Amino acid sequence: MNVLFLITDSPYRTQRVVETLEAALVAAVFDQQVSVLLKGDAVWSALPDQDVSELDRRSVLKILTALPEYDVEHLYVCAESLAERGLEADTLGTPVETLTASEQRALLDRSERVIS
Amino acid sequence: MKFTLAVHGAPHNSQAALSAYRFARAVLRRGHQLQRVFFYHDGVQTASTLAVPPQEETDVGALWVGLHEETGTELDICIAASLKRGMLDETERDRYERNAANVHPAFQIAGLGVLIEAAIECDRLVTFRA
Repeated sequence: MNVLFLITDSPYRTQRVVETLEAALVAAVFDQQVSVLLKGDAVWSALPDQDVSELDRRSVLKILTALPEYDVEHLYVCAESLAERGLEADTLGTPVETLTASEQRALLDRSERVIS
Repeated sequence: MKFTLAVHGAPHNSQAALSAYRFARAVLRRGHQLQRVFFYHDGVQTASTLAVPPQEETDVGALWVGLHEETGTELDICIAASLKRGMLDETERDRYERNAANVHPAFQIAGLGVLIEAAIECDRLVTFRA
């Protein structure tokens, strides 16, 4: 089953991003076709060189980088959210696939379950 | 139709648990099946026996306990999300040698796999975010 995890929160303001990624990993372990879409402030999660030593938190980038090892098939990022924040996909800390708004609509259409 | 609900918001800091409760009642009233309700993120606090809301506020946890007692709907709270927020049943209290348990027996502690399985098996998964 195609399961999409749609993440819109800023990575370190709350635990939501970490906990949603944990659910995505479990879905992948359950042999589902898992995709993650970062949108809005969640795109900050993919910034390179995240130094969490003074936050005493887990690095969100580290979890994102590990997604392929767990067979999470796609890490998508909203192109518009990147542009609004002056970010470019090829300068992020992990490889991502960027999606336009219409491509995101198509992704939502073909996802059988969306967890956000 | 078979429904699964996911509740992600804290009971007294978000509308999620109350909206989900009303939705659950509507699902059952329309003759659909409500397979389970899975509480994740801050939503796990809905299961606390220690919350004392002021008189003018609704006791959200009590609503869910009532629904469970009337209909047998399974209420699950995520174990990882619960433990770190200090939500323990008697088994976890003993395992981690803490001095109290505070999960209402209407709620079961469950792994995230239960949410994923329920999401796969149901016809509709409806999430109530914070």
